[in-house]
Amino acid sequence: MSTFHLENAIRTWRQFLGKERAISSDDAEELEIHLRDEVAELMERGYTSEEAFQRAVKQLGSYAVLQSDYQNVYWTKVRAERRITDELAWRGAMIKNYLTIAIRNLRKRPGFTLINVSGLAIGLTCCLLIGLFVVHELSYDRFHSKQDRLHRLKYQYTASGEQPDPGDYRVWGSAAVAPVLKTDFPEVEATVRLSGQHTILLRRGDLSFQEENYLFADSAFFDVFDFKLLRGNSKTALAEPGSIVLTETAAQRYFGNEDPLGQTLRFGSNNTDDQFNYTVNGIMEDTPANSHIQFDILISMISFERRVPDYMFQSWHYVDFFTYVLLHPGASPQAVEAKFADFTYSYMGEELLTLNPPLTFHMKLEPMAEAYMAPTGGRLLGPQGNPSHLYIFGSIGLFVLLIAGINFTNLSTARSIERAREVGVRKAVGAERSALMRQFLTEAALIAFVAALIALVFAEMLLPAFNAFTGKGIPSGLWMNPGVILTMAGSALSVGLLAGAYPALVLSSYHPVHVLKGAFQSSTGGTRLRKSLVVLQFGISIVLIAATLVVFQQLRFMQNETLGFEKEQQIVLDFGGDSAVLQQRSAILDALGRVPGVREVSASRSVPGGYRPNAGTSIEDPSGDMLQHGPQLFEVDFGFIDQLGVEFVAGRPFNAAIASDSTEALIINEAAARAFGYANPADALGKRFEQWGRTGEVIGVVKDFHHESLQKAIEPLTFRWAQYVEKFLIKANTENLPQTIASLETTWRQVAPHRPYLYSFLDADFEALYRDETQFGSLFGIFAGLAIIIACLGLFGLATFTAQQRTKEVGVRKVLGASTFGLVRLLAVDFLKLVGVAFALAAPLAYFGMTEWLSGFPYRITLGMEVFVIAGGLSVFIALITVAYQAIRAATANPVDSLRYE
Amino acid sequence: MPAKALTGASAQTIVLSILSEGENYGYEIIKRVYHLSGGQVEWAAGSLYTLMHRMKAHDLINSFWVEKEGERRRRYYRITPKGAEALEKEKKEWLSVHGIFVQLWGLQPSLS
Repeated sequence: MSTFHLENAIRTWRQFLGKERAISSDDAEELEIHLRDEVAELMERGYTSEEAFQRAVKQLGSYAVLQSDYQNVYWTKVRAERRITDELAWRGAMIKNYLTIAIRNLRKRPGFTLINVSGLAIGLTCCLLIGLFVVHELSYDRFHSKQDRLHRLKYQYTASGEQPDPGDYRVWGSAAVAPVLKTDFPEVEATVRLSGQHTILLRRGDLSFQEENYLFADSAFFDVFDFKLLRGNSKTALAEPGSIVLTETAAQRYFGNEDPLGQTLRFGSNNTDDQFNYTVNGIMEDTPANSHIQFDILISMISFERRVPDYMFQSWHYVDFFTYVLLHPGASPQAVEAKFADFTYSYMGEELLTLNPPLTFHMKLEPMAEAYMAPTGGRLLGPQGNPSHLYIFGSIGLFVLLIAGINFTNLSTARSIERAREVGVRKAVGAERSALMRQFLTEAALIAFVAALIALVFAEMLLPAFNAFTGKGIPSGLWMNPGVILTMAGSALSVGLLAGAYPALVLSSYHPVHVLKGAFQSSTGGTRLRKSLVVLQFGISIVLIAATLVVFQQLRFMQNETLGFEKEQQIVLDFGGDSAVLQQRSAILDALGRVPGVREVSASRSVPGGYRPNAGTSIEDPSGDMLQHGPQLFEVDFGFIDQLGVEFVAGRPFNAAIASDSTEALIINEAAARAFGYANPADALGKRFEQWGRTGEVIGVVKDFHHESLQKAIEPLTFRWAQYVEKFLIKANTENLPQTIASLETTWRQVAPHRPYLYSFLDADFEALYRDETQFGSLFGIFAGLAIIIACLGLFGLATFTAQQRTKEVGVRKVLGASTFGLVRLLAVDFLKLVGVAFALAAPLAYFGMTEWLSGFPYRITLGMEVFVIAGGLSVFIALITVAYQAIRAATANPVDSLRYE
Repeated sequence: MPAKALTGASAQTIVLSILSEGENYGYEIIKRVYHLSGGQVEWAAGSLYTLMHRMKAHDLINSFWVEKEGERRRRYYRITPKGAEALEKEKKEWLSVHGIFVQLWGLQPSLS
């Protein structure tokens, strides 16, 4: 008798079981323990292990039975699963079927498909670019991780007891506020002041650059903001005097590929003691495009503080700084703001109340995220967004998409007549309406997706040009941007389904009997809808064209309007107020004046269109009190006002022969005279004034001239003679201007070799102020053009189908003797009527809209009828051309051919 | 052992009833039925386990493994709410059939 080993037996049994595919290892485990339970019980009853094992195995059931039982279950499961995959395969095949048929249908009519796809693609490209622009604009300053606690300070003076308008606050303030803000308010974690609206000269050996994009910054800069410091210690990089941090671009400029860290840059010109060595203590990434704080170079604020008189940093009246505030987490900005009134009063309140009129100083916190978009007056740190532009462009984008979508629907519906027979046949052989609808929707979605793809490619290609044009830095690589892809796919799907729903409904509703009988006419409801859609398209286009014309008219007006001073042939030579030049001021002026081709030279700190400061100025008013305002100030030499050619309405200009003119004389413009209470400018003469440490008399009043762009009304302006100027103004003869400029350069290099020769033309500078508007107008024009193109595409498609539909009618008419011209007129007139209706609706809308826009300009054109006539005429003309091709083709067709087929 | 048709038809209801008393495992269920039937009904392991596979696929019961210290792991089964509902339904059906027999054969009225 062989020895029986229970474990071996069970193991063998188990292995045998495992061979069956239908029995999983879990099942086998279950069966094994069942076996062991049985064996254990049998052995308890007295059987031997071998007997127990044999009985248990038999009790479990014959292997064959086990096998068949488990296999049953197994195959049921498989069948169920296969049903699922079958189902999926079937559905997939259906979709593939729809797509194949859709592609086939679309290829049958390549012209129609092309028009549809291109119209939609243009619309989507537009929308995509505008969408990117809007998103970019709204994303400004959001990269700062502490953004929710970050604010900037805004200030405004008002007459005592009044509150300023929200848009009236200015961000340009004094340096004294920040330190006491930090000590007096426990909620404030840190403050950062930024300053630097002047140009400075930096040099490394012989290499010098006039830097305009630099800022002085407090040492907390890198703690508060999220600008990335690549090298250097963020805590100390801006702590010491003479510390400078360069962006990568700036570092490249001065050091090329060398390591800039620890190197020295000199500030200022060679031969004065303004020498100041800056040590490069940090290199940082270039400022991102969507930051309103833009700069190439940072210099420690303490460098600035050490160099200048105390009052510049201690007086609340000296204005040259932008202040940013970081609150502690959990601190409430509202609570902080609520304390501002008391805060400002404790430092400035009483002093302001002694003025005439008594003033109050208001302060406000503005969240960082709103800084770019919020309307802010006065001097700004960096670029400013324009929310109304965003709305307008957003609307245009939607309009264009609307037009494209309307096109889509129109063309698809128009095709319905063609496809009526196809639908009739399919229905007659049993196709369900829902299946037909799904088919047509698939076609629509397919077109939309192809259009979206093309739009993506177009947008990517156009992005650099778009960026250059708008001056933004929208990052490219759109196909890698999941947000863009998702939005495009979603839009394509929605547009496809929305625009395709109506045609799908119409098409699938056809009654097969009616259609196949041939008595089919397109429903009047459908025609009416199609016509109204065309009206809408052209209406929108007309509004856009009219708007573009008006914008350009206004621009041209602003550029050509007489400004009240001589701006032609005036060369502005900017030396940045360099002290070496100032010391030799008269000598340099002489030298420049002697250059052939130069008529006149003078000097000033400010030129029209450029930066000029505001100066707290008190002038005696008619009742004898000293009234204070903050008019703008030009600091000039004796010859400047004359060279500008500004007219005097009272009094006289500064006279070099009169000694007191350089210290006790003030000249104001008419607007200033009115502000101080003098309706008659002559009455202001001889009145006392106090301004920036000087007292004296008003000696002259000039006629108002546009010292700022025509976007602003003329503000009060004052003039004073000053030693500190920053620019030379050179009037040149018209002949041989390039030669004059070259000669000036030679002379400049002799008299001021350490300063770069930076010149510009006053009129060009002034025009640059309109850059925003010009851009706006151009963009408007582009979109208007696109809208019309899309509308025309639609009209063309429509005309094609209508012409086809009426082939028989045209044939009959021809046989009965109608002339070609008469036929063309017949076919075209219908469409022209539509354009006429569109015009009637669009013109008042455009008129209203443009009047609104124009009212924002103090100096504007009058809205004339010619704009609307041109817009309407242009639309009619374009519509005519579009329709004419089809009309002529239909009219010249041989009637035999048209009447031959049923 | 009763005819296959009967054992088959009643098996699910019996399993559900046993599991409604609490969680249980295969071997124990077979033993219980054996005792309840006075030795008349002895289910084959394969039949029970495959039945319970199917019941699990229909979401009438759940299975889970229990591993006790030093022992092999054992698959337990418990009834689901859906299974409890099915049990109620099947109970009613069996009782109505039972009711017919009671009246035909003059037996005691059935337990409700």
